[in-house]
Amino acid sequence: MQRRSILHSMLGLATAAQAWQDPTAKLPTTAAEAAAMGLPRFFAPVDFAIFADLGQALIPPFDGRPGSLEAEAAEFLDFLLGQSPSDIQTLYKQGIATFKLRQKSGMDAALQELAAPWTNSGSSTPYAKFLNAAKLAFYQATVNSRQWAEAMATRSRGAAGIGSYWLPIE
Amino acid sequence: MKTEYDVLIIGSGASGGMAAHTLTKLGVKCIMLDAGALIDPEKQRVLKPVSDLPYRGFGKPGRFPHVTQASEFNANMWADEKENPYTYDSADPYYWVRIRLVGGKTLAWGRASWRLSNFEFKCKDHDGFGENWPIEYQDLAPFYDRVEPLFRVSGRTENLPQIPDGVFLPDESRDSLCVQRFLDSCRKQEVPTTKQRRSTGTLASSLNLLLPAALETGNLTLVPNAIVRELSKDPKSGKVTGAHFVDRVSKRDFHVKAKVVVLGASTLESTRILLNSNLANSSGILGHYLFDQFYVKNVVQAIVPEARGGKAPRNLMGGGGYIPRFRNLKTKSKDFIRGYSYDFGSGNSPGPQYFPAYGEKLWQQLADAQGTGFSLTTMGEVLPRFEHAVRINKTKTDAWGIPVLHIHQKYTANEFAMAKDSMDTAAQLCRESGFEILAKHAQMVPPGESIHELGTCRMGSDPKKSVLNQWNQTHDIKNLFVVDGGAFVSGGSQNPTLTILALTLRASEYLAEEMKKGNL
Repeated sequence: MQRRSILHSMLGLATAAQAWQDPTAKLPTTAAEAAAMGLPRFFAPVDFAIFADLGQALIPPFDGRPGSLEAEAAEFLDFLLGQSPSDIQTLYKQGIATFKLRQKSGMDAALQELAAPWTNSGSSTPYAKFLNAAKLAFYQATVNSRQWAEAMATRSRGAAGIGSYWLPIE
Repeated sequence: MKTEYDVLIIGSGASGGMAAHTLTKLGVKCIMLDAGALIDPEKQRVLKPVSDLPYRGFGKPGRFPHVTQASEFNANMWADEKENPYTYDSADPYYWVRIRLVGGKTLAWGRASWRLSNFEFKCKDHDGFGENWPIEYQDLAPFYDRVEPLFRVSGRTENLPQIPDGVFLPDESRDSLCVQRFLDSCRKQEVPTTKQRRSTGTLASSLNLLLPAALETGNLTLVPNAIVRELSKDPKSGKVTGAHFVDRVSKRDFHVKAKVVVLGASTLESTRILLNSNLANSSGILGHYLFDQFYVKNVVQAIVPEARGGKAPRNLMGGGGYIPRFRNLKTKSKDFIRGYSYDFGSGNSPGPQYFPAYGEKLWQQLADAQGTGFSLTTMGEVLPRFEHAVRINKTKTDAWGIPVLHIHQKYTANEFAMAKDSMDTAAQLCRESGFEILAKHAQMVPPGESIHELGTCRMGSDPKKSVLNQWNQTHDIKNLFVVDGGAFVSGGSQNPTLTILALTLRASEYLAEEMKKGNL
């Protein structure tokens, strides 16, 4: 349950219930499929580069573990956002636009909202909500990546990230 | 289906499974309809790394907006929300969590197995609110005694009146040092504690503990993928005669005949069937008094400081326990009636959301706190209220053309006050244990999310104020029984499955006896 709670917090999915009946874009179901079909990505190229920079600042490599860049977390999240409800898409689009402006004053200034203590009721502004959602999303996309699993396999015999997967019922 | 069965059981989870287990052993010929497929849980699951999943564990966006328990690993287990819709007022969301498979929610339940006490059965006598059950603890105790060994419940005898002791596999496990510190703090505050009481075993489901024995008698016909539209009734006698159902896959309609019908389709599905059948509602109570138990997940997330930086001495971390209700037993709280309980555990690693940092600093803080966590979750009693109710939404149907439920429930001042008290108390207990508090909050999850939905078809002595009598038999139709959580009059803060099993065992033996006497 805790895993799911964390996953829900990412991308701001706490509001997904309100978006239950929102139409979602009909996109292919894997990143490879999307790439092969040459479909547009969620972020425009310029914004995607900024999004990837943000990921690198939030979740850099550490102590031999891959960071979001090595884990291709930005590419994965771009694919995920393309299928997400419209309120989540808006949060990320507007968040990146604000980050682009704030970044000119330096990374610390752009990310100062992340210095605020956690509250269960969530962040007070859309930009702070975006930053907190992006931090969790980049973290989870990184530690759940194949690159992370390969790096950790050399450090531990533990089967980190292995779960019991329910096959489709029919 | 031309055969007439003795008993039609609708649903195969805790209540349906227990009804089949009991009745078939008494020689009663039963047919069981379940809306879901029959699966072998061992063959249905494979081990996979999260990195091999298409969505890296995030799951397909929007697939389960109301099932926070769903992960990308178990997504295929939960009932499809698009095929099985329901409605609510947008201001008051309700999270209806369902599994449509043979075995029902017992395929995934938390296994916590607590008895109710007379603080619940005679709740009105204690504080004047609501109604008493038409039974008392002593009526149900012999049935709890028989259910616990069947479900291999482990626990520790404590002589706490609010959670009566049972027939347990003894839990002799030792407490870690941090848990001992916490227990000492509780003792000083006169807050009771105990070990968890849980059903044990690799799988503890109706599917492996109840249905095989029922099938072995040769008295049970199991029909998976059978979605009940409505019950049929003989207009002359007023009795129910069976059910109309649709095959989930082929969408063909069928009818099955039976002398008695037992509804165990889950709290809200059984009530939906009755409402769609326009039966058993002379009281006007059917669908009303919906309640559950509220949860405040991680009401306090703390850190055991001595464990920081991977420096925890041996036996410091690990394990947990349970705090049963302690409010409003001997004294009265000024802000709320009834009470709440906690699950607590240690040794978890607090997630990145708790740390106001990013980049290398975040990594350092995560590493420093790895395995240091101590957290509590509150489970609180919710007061049943007439206005919290379900009704049929005549404008919306499911994938099989069956009208769906509109659900209305929200938490009120009593629950909010209780949640706040639970946060303050948990924080105080952690502080007195020497733990550092990372975060605390009193925000309850939405109604329904605890998966402990109860009421809407409640028991009672007065047919004008209840749907069922003390034997889970409808006041209006004597050959119609409802044995799931719908029958509850109040729920305490204890997980309800053990009580559902005991009530069903009791009702099923009564049913078989009455059938033998020709009274049904």
